[in-house]
Amino acid sequence: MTVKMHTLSGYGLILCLALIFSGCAASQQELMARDHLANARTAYNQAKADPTVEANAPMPLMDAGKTLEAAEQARDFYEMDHLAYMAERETQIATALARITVARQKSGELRRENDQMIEKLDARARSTVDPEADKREDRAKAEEERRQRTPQHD
Amino acid sequence: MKEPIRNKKMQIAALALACAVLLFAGGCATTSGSSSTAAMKIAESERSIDAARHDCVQNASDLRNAELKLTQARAALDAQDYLNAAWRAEEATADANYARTKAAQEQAEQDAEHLQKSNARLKNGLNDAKSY
Repeated sequence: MTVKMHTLSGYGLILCLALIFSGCAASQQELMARDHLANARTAYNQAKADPTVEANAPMPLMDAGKTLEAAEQARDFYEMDHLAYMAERETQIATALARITVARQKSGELRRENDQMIEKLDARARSTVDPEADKREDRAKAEEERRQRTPQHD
Repeated sequence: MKEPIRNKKMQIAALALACAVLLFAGGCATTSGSSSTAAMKIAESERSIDAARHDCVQNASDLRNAELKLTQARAALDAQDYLNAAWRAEEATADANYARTKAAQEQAEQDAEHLQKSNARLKNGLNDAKSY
């Protein structure tokens, strides 16, 4: 009888420990999910406040917002964790896409400036080698314009 | 008289069984995911990682997350945990896409910086030419 009682109390202890550990695991999952959700929300709010992201990657940012909403309404902490992770990544991708657009626009402007300066430097170099070259070019241009203005008689 | 009643009972039992099977299958599809969806998502993440590997030769560290998630997805698929497999694969795809976009961002910013330096040099050249 005593042996049976001991065995039963042993099982009871194991059951209690198992329940405690499963409870800990669940609360750890909850902590992790809530932490990821907070990170995702911070990243999204920062991106939303950045006018370059809103202007240059509106669709990816909107998708990230939808995923974040879904994470906030998740059925359980496993789903919340997954959706929060996805929302954070989508926000980072939207921000990176916006930065790419801004950098490419800047490169375009710089390239035009670059071409103009190269042209000026070329012109300077030509006039240094042959000071009359510019004048000849101007005269040729004026002659061409005059010819175009004069009506043609066949 | 007893035979038709027995038949009706059997029909109801069959119907109940069919409903149970349908509900069970539906439940599996929504809460545990399906093996084909998980496999499809794993294949998608493999493609994304390959593309990112091609683009991010210099920045391989960003790809590690994606590769780790893909390994987890494959393990979950082997363990028939389809929902977990699909989620890890989705995360692997997102990681790979982020690594790729980040590499493109770094490249675009580097290009702009080089052009800015080149313009500064040209501006100096122009100023020098003016002073002659």
